[in-house]
Amino acid sequence: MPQHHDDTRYLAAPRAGRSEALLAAAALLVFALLLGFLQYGQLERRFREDLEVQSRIVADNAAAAVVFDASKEATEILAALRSAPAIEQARLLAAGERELASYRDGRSARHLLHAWAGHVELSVPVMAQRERVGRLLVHASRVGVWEDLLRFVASAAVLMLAALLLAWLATLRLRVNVREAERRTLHLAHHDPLTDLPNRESFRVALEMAAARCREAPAALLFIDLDNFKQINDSHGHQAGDRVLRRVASLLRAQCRPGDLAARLAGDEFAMLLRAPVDAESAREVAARLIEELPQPEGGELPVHVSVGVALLPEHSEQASEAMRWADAAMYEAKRSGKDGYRLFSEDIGAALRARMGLEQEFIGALASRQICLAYQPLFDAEGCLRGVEALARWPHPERGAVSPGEFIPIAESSGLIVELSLLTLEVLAEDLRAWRAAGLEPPMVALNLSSRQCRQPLHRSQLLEALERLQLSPRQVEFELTEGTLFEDLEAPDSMVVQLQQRGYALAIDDFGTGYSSLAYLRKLRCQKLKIDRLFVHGIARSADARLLVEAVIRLSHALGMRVVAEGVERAADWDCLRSLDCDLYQGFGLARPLPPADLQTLMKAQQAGERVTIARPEAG
Amino acid sequence: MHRPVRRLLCHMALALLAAPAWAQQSAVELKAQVLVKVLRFVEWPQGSLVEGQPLQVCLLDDGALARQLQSLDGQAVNTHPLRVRPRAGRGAALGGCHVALMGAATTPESPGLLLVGEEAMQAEKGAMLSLLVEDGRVVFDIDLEAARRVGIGFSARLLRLARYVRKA
Repeated sequence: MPQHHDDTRYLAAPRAGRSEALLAAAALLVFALLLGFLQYGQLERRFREDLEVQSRIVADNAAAAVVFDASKEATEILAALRSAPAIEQARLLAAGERELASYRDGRSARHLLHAWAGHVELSVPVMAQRERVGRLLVHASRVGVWEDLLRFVASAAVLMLAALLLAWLATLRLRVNVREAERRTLHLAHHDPLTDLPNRESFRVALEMAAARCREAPAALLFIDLDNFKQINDSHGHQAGDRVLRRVASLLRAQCRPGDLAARLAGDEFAMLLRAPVDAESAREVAARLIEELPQPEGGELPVHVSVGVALLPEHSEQASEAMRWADAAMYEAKRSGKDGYRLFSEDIGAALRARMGLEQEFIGALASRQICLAYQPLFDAEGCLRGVEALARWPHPERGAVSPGEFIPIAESSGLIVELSLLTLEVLAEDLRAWRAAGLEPPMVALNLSSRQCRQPLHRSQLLEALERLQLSPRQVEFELTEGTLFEDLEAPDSMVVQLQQRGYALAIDDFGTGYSSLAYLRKLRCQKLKIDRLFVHGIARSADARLLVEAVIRLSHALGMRVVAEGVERAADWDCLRSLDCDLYQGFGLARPLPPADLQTLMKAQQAGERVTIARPEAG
Repeated sequence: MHRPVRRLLCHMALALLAAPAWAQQSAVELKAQVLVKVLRFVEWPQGSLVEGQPLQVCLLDDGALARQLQSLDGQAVNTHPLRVRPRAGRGAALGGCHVALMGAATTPESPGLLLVGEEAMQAEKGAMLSLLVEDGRVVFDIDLEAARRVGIGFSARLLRLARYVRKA
């Protein structure tokens, strides 16, 4: 597992333990000092009390000896002071300060503590009954107080240390568990739980470190995206999807040399960081090998397809975020040119990306200044009578001229601006409808394209419904076209947009039928009013028996399910004739009419009102 | 801390006194002085000698000591002035007396009365305090048992100075 050495990089968590131990030790020290201080006060008080009591007892005993002036007796009485080790000297004074007897303790060896501890002088009176007959002078060393204090401090310290040791032993297991939990948390924070690969954040950190020293050690960034993951998930369930992800992860891991890093960035996005020695050629090799060794589908599962984008550091970029963008762009290029491909980043891709980003900025401006207008592509019946129009967004750029929808619609989709675009479209449509009505014309049914992006967020859904109401775009005037992909996604949502629109009475049409999943189950479940057969099947139908059979079957099926069928891309008279013979309901295509600006549509409507019908010009002398 | 106290009491019980010699003084004078000093350590029964009340010394004898004691009349013993009552006659009432200096005859015990004699305890004359001369020095014996019978106590501090103490 070449992955493990990476873990250590993120284990820079601060060692909080040491400072906590220091704090505990300091607290204990303060506690011990305080305790020692209190104990000293106690010992000192006890010492003075004992000294006084002892002195008073001896003085009391000596009273008769003083009265009788019995020096020998007095000396014997003083000798009792031997049992009070603190007392070093004592003098018994009779009346007139005459010394009757004295005592000196010869035992105590003088050491340093003695000098330091100091002495106490005490004088107690010798009383015979109530009369003072002399006094006892006592000279005592305070060394006992300090010895007791030291003994106390020492035993307290030993007890505290023992308690600490016990606590340390008792929590040993706990601390091991905590450390293990910390390690696991750290691992989880930096790894994807499903594949156990490092996650996006870990990869970003590693990439930034690689970018910082890419001049000395070039690196390559591979951006890997599963092309059909959603499809696999939808068809085989999430468990199968997870299995695929794990297999791809182990494939990536197997490609890692020591020092390389594979990571899972998001749902079906993976990345690899190849470190020196690496060049364009070896990066290409790794990408090719990845695609080649993709896991084979198991038991009827869909095969996995990936697209790989490659960016080199420092050749393409010296910055982590830019390198990511370039690899992503290269990956999209690879995806565009078909499944299971890889693409090395190039200046062209960079320029295209920059142009795309520039266009996105301009598109934001276009939305804000309402540069968007609508073109209407008519739908005719078999007689060439206008039955409806499909509204298509157009962007007449003030400098570039008309920007192709093929250019700005993907940008709107990927940036999420499609939501704003749709709302603006509704307003433009409402204006056009008003103008036609003002001209005394009854506009035909208008079909609007509904993007899956509009259905995802509850806010966007409610914005759309609210706009329809505000602009008085009723189900009698407006219907919606959705692709099968949009339908699939939307129907999973708890408050499906499709269902809500149907509840409000709007008719729905399935767009581009035949290019997506074409699930018959959905056809039945949805109860759409229209089905639009993609131009792919319509184009050249007159010359293809297969296409004819297919379209015929779809038309029969649709009619049986109560749907009307629209043929898209009707261009030639022969195809039109063929479709009419198959009992198709409506026809749309450049052969009949191109998308028309509002004014041209108005002209068409007038002509239709006057009884004119549309037809396709037949080639001369066919 | 109570060990020292016990030790001191022990010492007290063991030691015996040989009173120091007082040079140039006659034995009788010394005896009188010792008696007065001893009286400072005597405790009479509750109520029989209240504060400030004279301490009455009754003389049943008219020997040398008795005469010597008379000269000490008025001297202060603790808070009491000493009042020496000379012999009023044989069989005279001893009422109000605190101390009685016995003569040769035996004197009956009476509550609160300290009997002082000049013969050794062994003479069994009933003296509670005997003043004696031994090797030229004044010593004293105490009969604690007899004293206790009449409610008189001796301070423990005094006992260690006695030559002989008869205990109960």
